[in-house]
Amino acid sequence: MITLSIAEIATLGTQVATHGAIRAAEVAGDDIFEMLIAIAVLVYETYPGPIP
Amino acid sequence: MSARFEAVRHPGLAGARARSAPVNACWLAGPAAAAADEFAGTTDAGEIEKRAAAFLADPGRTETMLAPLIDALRADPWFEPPFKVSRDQLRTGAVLFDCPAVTLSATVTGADALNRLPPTATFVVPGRVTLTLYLSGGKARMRRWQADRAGADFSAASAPPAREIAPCMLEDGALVRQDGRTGGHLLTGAASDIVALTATIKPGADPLVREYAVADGTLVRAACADDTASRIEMLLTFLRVSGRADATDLFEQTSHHPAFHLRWAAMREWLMLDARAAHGRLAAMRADDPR
Repeated sequence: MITLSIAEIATLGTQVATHGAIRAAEVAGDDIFEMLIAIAVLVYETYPGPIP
Repeated sequence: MSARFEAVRHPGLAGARARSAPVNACWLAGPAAAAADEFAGTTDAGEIEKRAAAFLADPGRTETMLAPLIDALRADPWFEPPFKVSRDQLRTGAVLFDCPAVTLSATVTGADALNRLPPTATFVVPGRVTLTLYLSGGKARMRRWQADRAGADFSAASAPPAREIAPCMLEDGALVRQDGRTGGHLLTGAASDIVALTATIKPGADPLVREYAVADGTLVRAACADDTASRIEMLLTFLRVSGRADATDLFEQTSHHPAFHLRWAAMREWLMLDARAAHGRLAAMRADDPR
């Protein structure tokens, strides 16, 4: 299996930030926080052991 | 100097969440579900907009929906309504209800803060159609801009600047339609607080939220408007970091996603995980997905 490091891969010409990075006043709520918590919970459920 | 808040002096605070839960469950199953039902059975953006306009135009509709929660708040000042709330120096907002067709939010924008804070350097083109009922317009001035739509071929490097168009004054009771796919706005110079109810129409939305400079209308940055796409992107990173080469199918599938940034994010993650497996699809994308 050949893997590449992130430095070896070209970046996209148009960078697009994560949902919620630009807040539109019409929609309230901390979307980025909720998404990070969701992924953190998933990581913990997948690897429930203590961090070495 | 404001007095320090001491929870022990407010015994009602303990257990407020538990006391609120049954009231909120009842409200979500009753008035909130009834409001969502008014937008059920269609995914047509025009039809949803028509229903949202009717909802906002009925002066008692939102009041009726919120009445049980206001009664609960009168009975218990620590009652916690089931709303997502956001606060900053300028405004307090709450999502009153959210369904697949529409989000209804309430916002109070403080006139003092609006007039005191330095003018913001950017405005947002949110990518969605909104209908806003200004219960109190505060005699504010709304600066408005028009921008081209961000289609499938959108590129930050070649995005033309947004153009400022004539401002308008916000009158009490005005129902303002904003096509956030092709325009943005900023409020300035309010004489009193601005109180607004906003229905955000979800179907037909553009995939990007864009931010432009007030000074010259140039594009500053873009963000994904779809939380599902951002979640997929994070999950692919998680699979790659976990070394899950057995998830090749998921990377391949996502490299066909309608959102260009997600297609290429999937390819980048796939190359970092297993460049040999990704090579065939990369060659195809190079030929028909020039980014």
